Amino acid sequence: MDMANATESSNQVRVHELDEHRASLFKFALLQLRDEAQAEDAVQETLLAAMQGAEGFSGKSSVRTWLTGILKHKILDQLRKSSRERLPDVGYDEDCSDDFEASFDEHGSYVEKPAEWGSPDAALSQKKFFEVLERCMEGLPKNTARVFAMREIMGLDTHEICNETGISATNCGVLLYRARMALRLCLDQRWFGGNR
Amino acid sequence: MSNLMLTCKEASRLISEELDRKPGVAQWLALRMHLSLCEGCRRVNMQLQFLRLAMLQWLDARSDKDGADRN
Repeated sequence: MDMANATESSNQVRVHELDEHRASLFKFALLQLRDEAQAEDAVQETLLAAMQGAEGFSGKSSVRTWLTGILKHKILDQLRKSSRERLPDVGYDEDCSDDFEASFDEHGSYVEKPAEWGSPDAALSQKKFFEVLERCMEGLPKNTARVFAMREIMGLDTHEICNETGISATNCGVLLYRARMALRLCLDQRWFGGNR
Repeated sequence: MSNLMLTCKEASRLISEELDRKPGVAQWLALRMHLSLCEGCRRVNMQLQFLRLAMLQWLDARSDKDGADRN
């Protein structure tokens, strides 16, 4: 418990070193929280926790990996906090235009057959691809993005998301569906379309 | 599933649902039947699975490469 006893030299991570990661952590948090103040809080708490627990850093992973691990928990705390403050109809208030809806005709068939993406795994080794992915995520409506982050980044299951946010399982499924279809369309247009 | 044949739109919902929970037998069968006949939906199925993978890799990519992003 007594952090003061941990001598500075025994800490493998130094304070100034932590601060170098601030901007990157902030961007990561903002993409998921969509709220600057909350993202700032999450990062602040992460750096604080890191400073207090620097000896918990094993040195096996990179500092960034270690910090991101802490940040994920802090983001989740923020998501919990804000969903408690929010009305339970959080799932409905989207100002969504749902572009992907236009991919279907009135019979529920694709207007244009979804295109082949070739071997998409190759994209995963390209830094540019992830920049495009981030831009696509930025395009999601706030609550859609939050629920999607809880599912795919925090790894919560839909039950847990329901409990955390107070939205119904059906609603949660709808938001995840919209997020995926919107991201699929966005990647198709902005990345894989370029290969055609 | 009252109607035996799903529309592509319905299929896309089920594809997404399968990423979140195990489907019931009827639902699983209905989707498989649709996918076996519909190349477009097979692509969407693969692309949504790819998206999941990409999100995981995104996290790794962001956290592993120290200083990878120049601020």
